Amino acid sequence: MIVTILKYLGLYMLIVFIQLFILSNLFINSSLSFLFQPQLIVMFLLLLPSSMSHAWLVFVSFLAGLVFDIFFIQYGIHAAVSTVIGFSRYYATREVENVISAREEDNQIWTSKKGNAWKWTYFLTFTGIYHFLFLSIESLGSNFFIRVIPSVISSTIIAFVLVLILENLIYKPVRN
Amino acid sequence: MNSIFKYLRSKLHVLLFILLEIFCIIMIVRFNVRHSSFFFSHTRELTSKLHEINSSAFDYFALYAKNEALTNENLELRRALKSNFVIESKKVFEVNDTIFKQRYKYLPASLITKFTNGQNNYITINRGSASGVEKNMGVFSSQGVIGTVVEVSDNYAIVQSILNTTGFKVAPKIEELNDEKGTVVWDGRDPNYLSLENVNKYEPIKTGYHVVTSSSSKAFPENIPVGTIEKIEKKPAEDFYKIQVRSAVNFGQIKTVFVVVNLFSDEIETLEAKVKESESQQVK
Repeated sequence: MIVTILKYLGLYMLIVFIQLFILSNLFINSSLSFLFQPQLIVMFLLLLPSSMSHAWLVFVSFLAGLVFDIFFIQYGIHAAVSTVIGFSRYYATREVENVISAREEDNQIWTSKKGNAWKWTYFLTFTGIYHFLFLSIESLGSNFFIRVIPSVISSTIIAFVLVLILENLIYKPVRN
Repeated sequence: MNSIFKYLRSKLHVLLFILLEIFCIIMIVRFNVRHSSFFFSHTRELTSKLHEINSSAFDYFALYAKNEALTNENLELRRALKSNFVIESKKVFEVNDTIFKQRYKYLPASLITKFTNGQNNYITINRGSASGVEKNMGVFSSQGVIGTVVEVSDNYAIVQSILNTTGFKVAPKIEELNDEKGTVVWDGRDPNYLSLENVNKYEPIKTGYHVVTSSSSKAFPENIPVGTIEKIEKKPAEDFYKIQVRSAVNFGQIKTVFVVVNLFSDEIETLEAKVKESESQQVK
Protein backbone atom coordinates (compact mmCIF):
# COMPACT_ATOMS: atom_id res chain seq x y z
CA MET A 1 0.00 0.00 0.00
CA ILE A 2 2.65 2.47 1.11
CA VAL A 3 4.89 1.35 -1.71
CA THR A 4 2.13 2.09 -4.18
CA ILE A 5 1.56 5.52 -2.71
CA LEU A 6 5.27 6.28 -2.87
CA LYS A 7 5.45 5.06 -6.44
CA TYR A 8 2.62 7.35 -7.44
CA LEU A 9 4.17 10.22 -5.57
CA GLY A 10 7.37 9.59 -7.51
CA LEU A 11 5.41 9.51 -10.75
CA TYR A 12 3.70 12.76 -9.83
CA MET A 13 6.98 14.47 -9.06
CA LEU A 14 8.47 13.23 -12.30
CA ILE A 15 5.51 14.64 -14.22
CA VAL A 16 5.77 17.99 -12.46
CA PHE A 17 9.48 18.15 -13.24
CA ILE A 18 8.96 17.32 -16.89
CA GLN A 19 6.20 19.89 -17.12
CA LEU A 20 8.16 22.52 -15.25
CA PHE A 21 11.55 22.15 -16.88
CA ILE A 22 10.88 20.78 -20.33
CA LEU A 23 7.34 21.49 -21.50
CA SER A 24 7.10 24.96 -19.97
CA ASN A 25 10.33 26.08 -21.56
CA LEU A 26 9.69 24.33 -24.85
CA PHE A 27 6.08 25.31 -25.44
CA ILE A 28 4.11 27.19 -22.80
CA ASN A 29 6.48 30.07 -22.07
CA SER A 30 7.66 30.36 -25.66
CA SER A 31 6.21 31.88 -28.79
CA LEU A 32 4.51 28.56 -29.54
CA SER A 33 2.20 28.89 -26.56
CA PHE A 34 -0.72 30.00 -28.67
CA LEU A 35 -0.81 26.57 -30.30
CA PHE A 36 0.91 24.11 -27.95
CA GLN A 37 -0.05 23.89 -24.31
CA PRO A 38 0.37 20.21 -23.40
CA GLN A 39 -0.46 19.46 -19.78
CA LEU A 40 1.23 16.24 -18.67
CA ILE A 41 -0.72 15.98 -15.42
CA VAL A 42 -3.39 14.13 -17.37
CA MET A 43 -0.98 11.16 -17.44
CA PHE A 44 -0.97 10.94 -13.67
CA LEU A 45 -4.76 11.03 -13.53
CA LEU A 46 -5.06 8.32 -16.17
CA LEU A 47 -2.52 6.01 -14.54
CA LEU A 48 -4.05 6.10 -11.05
CA PRO A 49 -4.97 2.57 -9.95
CA SER A 50 -8.23 1.29 -11.35
CA SER A 51 -9.02 -0.34 -8.03
CA MET A 52 -9.41 3.01 -6.29
CA SER A 53 -12.86 3.84 -5.00
CA HIS A 54 -14.74 6.52 -6.86
CA ALA A 55 -14.64 9.06 -4.03
CA TRP A 56 -10.90 8.57 -3.51
CA LEU A 57 -10.29 8.92 -7.21
CA VAL A 58 -12.13 12.25 -7.24
CA PHE A 59 -10.31 13.49 -4.18
CA VAL A 60 -6.81 12.44 -5.28
CA SER A 61 -7.41 13.96 -8.71
CA PHE A 62 -8.47 17.20 -7.09
CA LEU A 63 -5.36 17.28 -4.89
CA ALA A 64 -3.09 16.54 -7.85
CA GLY A 65 -4.69 19.35 -9.83
CA LEU A 66 -4.45 21.75 -6.91
CA VAL A 67 -0.72 21.14 -6.46
CA PHE A 68 -0.23 21.54 -10.20
CA ASP A 69 -2.09 24.86 -9.97
CA ILE A 70 0.21 26.05 -7.23
CA PHE A 71 3.23 25.14 -9.35
CA PHE A 72 1.96 26.92 -12.43
CA ILE A 73 0.06 29.79 -10.78
CA GLN A 74 -3.29 29.08 -12.35
CA TYR A 75 -5.32 28.77 -9.20
CA GLY A 76 -8.26 26.42 -9.59
CA ILE A 77 -8.18 25.68 -13.31
CA HIS A 78 -6.14 22.45 -13.19
CA ALA A 79 -7.98 21.39 -10.04
CA ALA A 80 -11.37 21.86 -11.64
CA VAL A 81 -10.48 19.95 -14.80
CA SER A 82 -8.64 17.22 -12.89
CA THR A 83 -11.66 16.62 -10.70
CA VAL A 84 -13.84 16.24 -13.78
CA ILE A 85 -11.36 13.76 -15.28
CA GLY A 86 -11.08 11.82 -12.02
CA PHE A 87 -14.85 11.62 -11.72
CA SER A 88 -15.51 10.53 -15.27
CA ARG A 89 -12.49 8.25 -15.58
CA TYR A 90 -13.97 5.81 -13.08
CA TYR A 91 -16.74 4.81 -15.49
CA ALA A 92 -14.18 3.84 -18.15
CA THR A 93 -11.86 1.87 -15.89
CA ARG A 94 -14.04 0.20 -13.29
CA GLU A 95 -14.20 -3.03 -15.27
CA VAL A 96 -10.45 -3.34 -15.64
CA GLU A 97 -8.94 -5.79 -13.18
CA ASN A 98 -6.11 -4.49 -11.15
CA VAL A 99 -3.11 -6.70 -11.69
CA ILE A 100 -0.62 -4.52 -9.94
CA SER A 101 -1.69 -5.44 -6.43
CA ALA A 102 -0.57 -9.04 -6.99
CA ARG A 103 2.85 -8.32 -8.40
CA GLU A 104 3.88 -4.87 -7.35
CA GLU A 105 7.56 -5.60 -7.62
CA ASP A 106 7.39 -6.24 -11.31
CA ASN A 107 6.82 -2.53 -12.06
CA GLN A 108 3.81 -3.27 -14.16
CA ILE A 109 0.75 -1.18 -14.76
CA TRP A 110 -2.83 -2.13 -15.45
CA THR A 111 -3.33 -0.04 -18.58
CA SER A 112 -2.27 -2.73 -21.03
CA LYS A 113 -4.72 -5.23 -19.57
CA LYS A 114 -7.33 -4.67 -22.22
CA GLY A 115 -5.00 -4.36 -25.15
CA ASN A 116 -3.34 -1.52 -27.00
CA ALA A 117 -6.44 -0.39 -28.88
CA TRP A 118 -8.36 0.17 -25.65
CA LYS A 119 -5.34 1.88 -24.05
CA TRP A 120 -4.85 4.29 -26.92
CA THR A 121 -8.52 5.16 -27.08
CA TYR A 122 -8.55 5.65 -23.33
CA PHE A 123 -5.51 7.95 -23.37
CA LEU A 124 -6.59 9.91 -26.40
CA THR A 125 -10.15 10.47 -25.19
CA PHE A 126 -9.28 11.72 -21.74
CA THR A 127 -6.27 13.74 -22.94
CA GLY A 128 -8.58 15.42 -25.39
CA ILE A 129 -11.23 16.09 -22.77
CA TYR A 130 -8.63 17.47 -20.40
CA HIS A 131 -7.13 19.87 -22.91
CA PHE A 132 -10.47 20.95 -24.22
CA LEU A 133 -11.76 21.84 -20.76
CA PHE A 134 -8.47 23.34 -19.61
CA LEU A 135 -7.96 25.57 -22.63
CA SER A 136 -11.61 26.62 -22.72
CA ILE A 137 -11.44 27.81 -19.13
CA GLU A 138 -7.92 29.20 -19.42
CA SER A 139 -8.57 31.32 -22.52
CA LEU A 140 -11.99 32.39 -21.31
CA GLY A 141 -13.44 35.26 -23.29
CA SER A 142 -11.21 34.88 -26.36
CA ASN A 143 -12.50 33.56 -29.66
CA PHE A 144 -13.38 29.92 -29.23
CA PHE A 145 -12.92 28.68 -32.82
CA ILE A 146 -9.79 30.64 -33.67
CA ARG A 147 -7.94 30.41 -30.38
CA VAL A 148 -9.18 27.36 -28.51
CA ILE A 149 -9.94 24.57 -31.02
CA PRO A 150 -6.56 24.51 -32.87
CA SER A 151 -4.74 24.75 -29.59
CA VAL A 152 -6.77 21.87 -28.15
CA ILE A 153 -6.03 19.61 -31.13
CA SER A 154 -2.28 20.25 -31.25
CA SER A 155 -1.82 20.11 -27.48
CA THR A 156 -3.79 16.87 -27.26
CA ILE A 157 -1.65 15.21 -29.91
CA ILE A 158 1.59 16.21 -28.22
CA ALA A 159 0.38 15.20 -24.76
CA PHE A 160 -0.91 11.87 -26.09
CA VAL A 161 2.42 11.01 -27.70
CA LEU A 162 4.28 12.02 -24.56
CA VAL A 163 2.02 9.93 -22.34
CA LEU A 164 2.54 6.85 -24.54
CA ILE A 165 6.31 7.29 -24.62
CA LEU A 166 6.64 7.88 -20.89
CA GLU A 167 4.37 5.00 -20.01
CA ASN A 168 6.44 2.65 -22.16
CA LEU A 169 9.67 3.97 -20.65
CA ILE A 170 8.59 3.72 -17.02
CA TYR A 171 6.50 0.55 -16.90
CA LYS A 172 6.87 -2.92 -18.18
CA PRO A 173 3.97 -4.15 -20.31
CA VAL A 174 1.61 -6.58 -18.65
CA ARG A 175 2.13 -10.17 -19.65
CA ASN A 176 -1.05 -11.93 -20.50
CA MET B 1 -32.32 8.31 9.10
CA ASN B 2 -29.97 5.40 8.66
CA SER B 3 -31.13 4.89 5.12
CA ILE B 4 -30.49 8.51 4.32
CA PHE B 5 -26.90 8.17 5.53
CA LYS B 6 -26.54 4.95 3.57
CA TYR B 7 -27.79 6.67 0.45
CA LEU B 8 -25.47 9.65 0.98
CA ARG B 9 -22.54 7.25 1.48
CA SER B 10 -23.34 5.47 -1.71
CA LYS B 11 -23.35 8.81 -3.54
CA LEU B 12 -20.28 10.15 -1.74
CA HIS B 13 -18.26 10.47 -4.95
CA VAL B 14 -20.97 12.66 -6.54
CA LEU B 15 -21.19 14.90 -3.48
CA LEU B 16 -17.44 15.16 -3.27
CA PHE B 17 -17.19 15.92 -6.97
CA ILE B 18 -19.80 18.71 -6.78
CA LEU B 19 -18.26 20.24 -3.66
CA LEU B 20 -14.75 20.20 -5.08
CA GLU B 21 -15.91 21.67 -8.38
CA ILE B 22 -17.69 24.51 -6.57
CA PHE B 23 -14.53 25.09 -4.58
CA CYS B 24 -12.46 25.14 -7.77
CA ILE B 25 -14.80 27.59 -9.50
CA ILE B 26 -14.69 29.89 -6.48
CA MET B 27 -10.93 29.67 -6.56
CA ILE B 28 -10.76 30.43 -10.29
CA VAL B 29 -13.03 33.44 -9.95
CA ARG B 30 -11.34 34.62 -6.78
CA PHE B 31 -7.68 34.36 -7.74
CA ASN B 32 -7.56 34.95 -11.51
CA VAL B 33 -8.07 38.56 -12.51
CA ARG B 34 -9.15 37.82 -16.06
CA HIS B 35 -11.63 35.15 -15.01
CA SER B 36 -13.12 37.22 -12.24
CA SER B 37 -13.65 40.18 -14.53
CA PHE B 38 -15.23 37.90 -17.15
CA PHE B 39 -17.44 36.23 -14.56
CA PHE B 40 -18.58 39.41 -12.85
CA SER B 41 -19.22 41.37 -16.03
CA HIS B 42 -21.39 38.58 -17.41
CA THR B 43 -23.25 37.86 -14.21
CA ARG B 44 -23.87 41.55 -13.68
CA GLU B 45 -25.37 41.78 -17.14
CA LEU B 46 -27.64 38.88 -16.34
CA THR B 47 -28.68 40.12 -12.92
CA SER B 48 -29.33 43.63 -14.16
CA LYS B 49 -31.51 42.21 -16.92
CA LEU B 50 -33.43 40.21 -14.33
CA HIS B 51 -33.87 43.30 -12.18
CA GLU B 52 -35.12 45.20 -15.20
CA ILE B 53 -37.71 42.54 -15.98
CA ASN B 54 -38.75 42.45 -12.35
CA SER B 55 -39.16 46.20 -12.05
CA SER B 56 -40.96 46.54 -15.37
CA ALA B 57 -43.45 43.92 -14.24
CA PHE B 58 -44.09 45.28 -10.78
CA ASP B 59 -43.80 49.02 -11.39
CA TYR B 60 -47.43 49.33 -12.40
CA PHE B 61 -48.66 48.26 -9.00
CA ALA B 62 -46.82 51.12 -7.33
CA LEU B 63 -48.02 53.84 -9.70
CA TYR B 64 -50.72 55.15 -7.40
CA ALA B 65 -48.38 55.56 -4.45
CA LYS B 66 -45.76 57.09 -6.70
CA ASN B 67 -48.24 59.61 -8.08
CA GLU B 68 -49.23 60.61 -4.59
CA ALA B 69 -45.65 61.01 -3.54
CA LEU B 70 -44.92 63.15 -6.59
CA THR B 71 -47.91 65.36 -5.91
CA ASN B 72 -46.81 65.85 -2.33
CA GLU B 73 -43.32 66.67 -3.46
CA ASN B 74 -44.65 69.21 -5.96
CA LEU B 75 -46.66 70.84 -3.21
CA GLU B 76 -43.63 71.02 -0.96
CA LEU B 77 -41.57 72.61 -3.72
CA ARG B 78 -44.33 75.09 -4.50
CA ARG B 79 -44.44 76.08 -0.85
CA ALA B 80 -40.72 76.69 -0.87
CA LEU B 81 -40.82 78.98 -3.91
CA LYS B 82 -39.07 82.27 -3.33
CA SER B 83 -41.98 84.28 -4.70
CA ASN B 84 -44.08 83.16 -1.75
CA PHE B 85 -41.92 85.04 0.68
CA VAL B 86 -41.45 88.66 1.61
CA ILE B 87 -38.24 89.75 3.24
CA GLU B 88 -39.30 90.75 6.73
CA SER B 89 -35.95 91.97 7.97
CA LYS B 90 -36.54 95.19 9.91
CA LYS B 91 -32.87 95.84 10.26
CA VAL B 92 -32.09 99.52 10.78
CA PHE B 93 -28.63 100.99 11.16
CA GLU B 94 -28.55 103.13 14.24
CA VAL B 95 -25.74 104.59 16.27
CA ASN B 96 -26.01 105.60 19.89
CA ASP B 97 -23.47 108.21 20.77
CA THR B 98 -23.49 110.81 23.51
CA ILE B 99 -21.43 113.43 21.70
CA PHE B 100 -22.62 112.93 18.14
CA LYS B 101 -26.37 112.73 18.05
CA GLN B 102 -27.53 110.67 15.15
CA ARG B 103 -29.20 112.68 12.45
CA TYR B 104 -29.84 110.08 9.80
CA LYS B 105 -30.71 106.43 9.85
CA TYR B 106 -30.85 104.17 6.86
CA LEU B 107 -33.37 101.50 5.95
CA PRO B 108 -32.12 98.94 3.50
CA ALA B 109 -34.63 98.07 0.77
CA SER B 110 -34.76 95.97 -2.37
CA LEU B 111 -36.05 97.03 -5.74
CA ILE B 112 -39.34 95.56 -6.89
CA THR B 113 -39.68 97.34 -10.22
CA LYS B 114 -37.73 100.01 -11.97
CA PHE B 115 -38.25 102.02 -15.12
CA THR B 116 -35.38 103.86 -16.71
CA ASN B 117 -36.77 104.30 -20.20
CA GLY B 118 -39.44 106.93 -19.70
CA GLN B 119 -39.43 110.68 -19.23
CA ASN B 120 -40.48 110.41 -15.60
CA ASN B 121 -38.96 107.36 -13.99
CA TYR B 122 -40.19 105.74 -10.81
CA ILE B 123 -38.81 102.90 -8.73
CA THR B 124 -40.80 100.68 -6.37
CA ILE B 125 -39.06 99.47 -3.22
CA ASN B 126 -40.19 96.92 -0.65
CA ARG B 127 -40.29 99.30 2.30
CA GLY B 128 -43.36 101.22 3.36
CA SER B 129 -44.88 103.14 6.20
CA ALA B 130 -44.67 99.96 8.32
CA SER B 131 -40.89 100.35 8.32
CA GLY B 132 -41.05 104.11 8.85
CA VAL B 133 -40.75 105.32 5.27
CA GLU B 134 -42.43 108.69 4.64
CA LYS B 135 -42.88 111.02 1.72
CA ASN B 136 -39.93 113.14 0.60
CA MET B 137 -37.34 110.84 2.12
CA GLY B 138 -34.20 110.45 0.12
CA VAL B 139 -33.11 107.18 -1.45
CA PHE B 140 -29.57 106.34 -2.49
CA SER B 141 -27.53 103.29 -3.35
CA SER B 142 -23.91 102.48 -2.73
CA GLN B 143 -23.12 104.25 -6.02
CA GLY B 144 -24.96 107.48 -5.38
CA VAL B 145 -28.24 109.40 -5.23
CA ILE B 146 -31.30 107.65 -6.63
CA GLY B 147 -34.24 109.85 -5.84
CA THR B 148 -36.93 110.76 -3.31
CA VAL B 149 -39.98 108.92 -2.02
CA VAL B 150 -43.22 110.22 -3.51
CA GLU B 151 -45.82 107.65 -2.54
CA VAL B 152 -45.97 105.28 0.46
CA SER B 153 -48.19 102.31 1.22
CA ASP B 154 -47.95 99.93 4.16
CA ASN B 155 -45.19 97.75 2.73
CA TYR B 156 -44.12 99.53 -0.45
CA ALA B 157 -42.93 102.90 -1.51
CA ILE B 158 -42.55 104.60 -4.88
CA VAL B 159 -39.38 106.55 -5.48
CA GLN B 160 -39.16 109.32 -8.04
CA SER B 161 -35.73 108.82 -9.48
CA ILE B 162 -33.19 111.44 -10.40
CA LEU B 163 -34.08 110.72 -14.02
CA ASN B 164 -37.13 112.88 -14.00
CA THR B 165 -37.98 115.85 -16.15
CA THR B 166 -40.39 117.36 -13.62
CA GLY B 167 -37.47 118.45 -11.53
CA PHE B 168 -35.41 116.72 -8.93
CA LYS B 169 -35.09 118.48 -5.64
CA VAL B 170 -31.60 118.19 -4.33
CA ALA B 171 -29.12 120.91 -3.71
CA PRO B 172 -25.80 119.92 -5.27
CA LYS B 173 -22.36 120.77 -4.09
CA ILE B 174 -19.06 120.74 -5.96
CA GLU B 175 -16.86 118.59 -3.81
CA GLU B 176 -13.55 120.16 -4.91
CA LEU B 177 -14.77 123.73 -4.28
CA ASN B 178 -16.81 122.76 -1.21
CA ASP B 179 -19.47 125.16 -2.42
CA GLU B 180 -23.14 124.82 -3.31
CA LYS B 181 -23.81 125.62 -6.92
CA GLY B 182 -26.90 125.50 -9.12
CA THR B 183 -29.39 122.66 -9.46
CA VAL B 184 -29.19 119.21 -11.00
CA VAL B 185 -31.83 118.38 -13.63
CA TRP B 186 -32.29 115.74 -16.26
CA ASP B 187 -33.03 116.62 -19.84
CA GLY B 188 -34.89 113.35 -20.49
CA ARG B 189 -32.58 111.94 -23.14
CA ASP B 190 -29.66 109.84 -21.91
CA PRO B 191 -30.09 108.16 -18.49
CA ASN B 192 -26.33 108.30 -18.00
CA TYR B 193 -26.10 112.10 -18.17
CA LEU B 194 -27.58 114.84 -15.98
CA SER B 195 -27.06 118.52 -16.35
CA LEU B 196 -26.06 121.09 -13.77
CA GLU B 197 -27.83 124.36 -14.37
CA ASN B 198 -27.74 127.89 -13.00
CA VAL B 199 -24.00 127.94 -12.39
CA ASN B 200 -22.51 131.37 -12.92
CA LYS B 201 -20.03 131.83 -15.78
CA TYR B 202 -17.35 133.19 -13.47
CA GLU B 203 -17.11 130.19 -11.19
CA PRO B 204 -13.81 128.25 -11.47
CA ILE B 205 -15.40 124.97 -12.52
CA LYS B 206 -13.37 122.30 -14.35
CA THR B 207 -14.20 118.92 -15.85
CA GLY B 208 -13.64 116.00 -13.49
CA TYR B 209 -15.05 117.79 -10.48
CA HIS B 210 -17.44 115.72 -8.41
CA VAL B 211 -21.03 116.74 -7.76
CA VAL B 212 -22.35 115.58 -4.37
CA THR B 213 -25.30 116.33 -2.15
CA SER B 214 -24.98 119.40 0.04
CA SER B 215 -25.62 119.77 3.72
CA SER B 216 -28.60 122.03 3.13
CA SER B 217 -30.77 119.31 1.62
CA LYS B 218 -33.18 117.81 4.05
CA ALA B 219 -33.57 114.48 2.27
CA PHE B 220 -29.93 113.48 1.99
CA PRO B 221 -26.92 113.47 4.22
CA GLU B 222 -23.92 115.39 2.98
CA ASN B 223 -21.46 114.12 0.35
CA ILE B 224 -23.48 111.42 -1.37
CA PRO B 225 -22.26 111.34 -4.98
CA VAL B 226 -24.53 112.58 -7.75
CA GLY B 227 -22.12 112.56 -10.68
CA THR B 228 -18.94 113.79 -12.29
CA ILE B 229 -18.65 116.88 -14.47
CA GLU B 230 -17.76 115.73 -17.95
CA LYS B 231 -18.37 118.64 -20.31
CA ILE B 232 -18.54 122.42 -19.76
CA GLU B 233 -19.96 124.70 -22.42
CA LYS B 234 -19.77 128.47 -22.34
CA LYS B 235 -22.20 130.45 -24.48
CA PRO B 236 -21.40 134.14 -24.97
CA ALA B 237 -25.05 135.20 -24.87
CA GLU B 238 -25.80 133.53 -21.56
CA ASP B 239 -24.70 134.15 -18.01
CA PHE B 240 -24.60 130.50 -17.08
CA TYR B 241 -22.54 127.48 -17.99
CA LYS B 242 -24.07 124.52 -19.72
CA ILE B 243 -22.58 121.64 -17.71
CA GLN B 244 -22.99 117.93 -18.47
CA VAL B 245 -22.70 115.62 -15.47
CA ARG B 246 -22.17 111.91 -15.78
CA SER B 247 -24.51 110.19 -13.33
CA ALA B 248 -22.78 108.32 -10.53
CA VAL B 249 -25.48 105.66 -10.51
CA ASN B 250 -25.87 103.10 -13.25
CA PHE B 251 -29.65 102.84 -13.05
CA GLY B 252 -29.71 99.54 -14.91
CA GLN B 253 -27.81 97.76 -12.17
CA ILE B 254 -29.44 98.89 -8.92
CA LYS B 255 -30.32 96.03 -6.59
CA THR B 256 -30.29 97.30 -3.04
CA VAL B 257 -31.01 100.86 -1.97
CA PHE B 258 -31.08 102.76 1.31
CA VAL B 259 -33.88 105.02 2.46
CA VAL B 260 -32.67 108.02 4.43
CA VAL B 261 -34.65 108.80 7.56
CA ASN B 262 -33.85 112.27 8.79
CA LEU B 263 -34.49 112.21 12.52
CA PHE B 264 -34.58 116.02 12.74
CA SER B 265 -36.83 116.67 9.78
CA ASP B 266 -39.92 117.20 11.96
CA GLU B 267 -38.09 119.69 14.11
CA ILE B 268 -36.78 121.59 11.11
CA GLU B 269 -40.17 121.65 9.46
CA THR B 270 -41.94 122.98 12.54
CA LEU B 271 -39.32 125.70 12.86
CA GLU B 272 -39.70 126.69 9.25
CA ALA B 273 -43.47 126.64 9.60
CA LYS B 274 -43.20 129.00 12.56
CA VAL B 275 -41.05 131.44 10.56
CA LYS B 276 -43.54 131.39 7.68
CA GLU B 277 -46.42 132.00 10.08
CA SER B 278 -44.72 134.96 11.68
CA GLU B 279 -43.86 136.35 8.24
CA SER B 280 -47.47 136.11 7.10
CA GLN B 281 -48.61 137.77 10.31
CA GLN B 282 -46.17 140.63 9.75
CA VAL B 283 -47.51 141.10 6.25
CA LYS B 284 -50.97 141.37 7.64
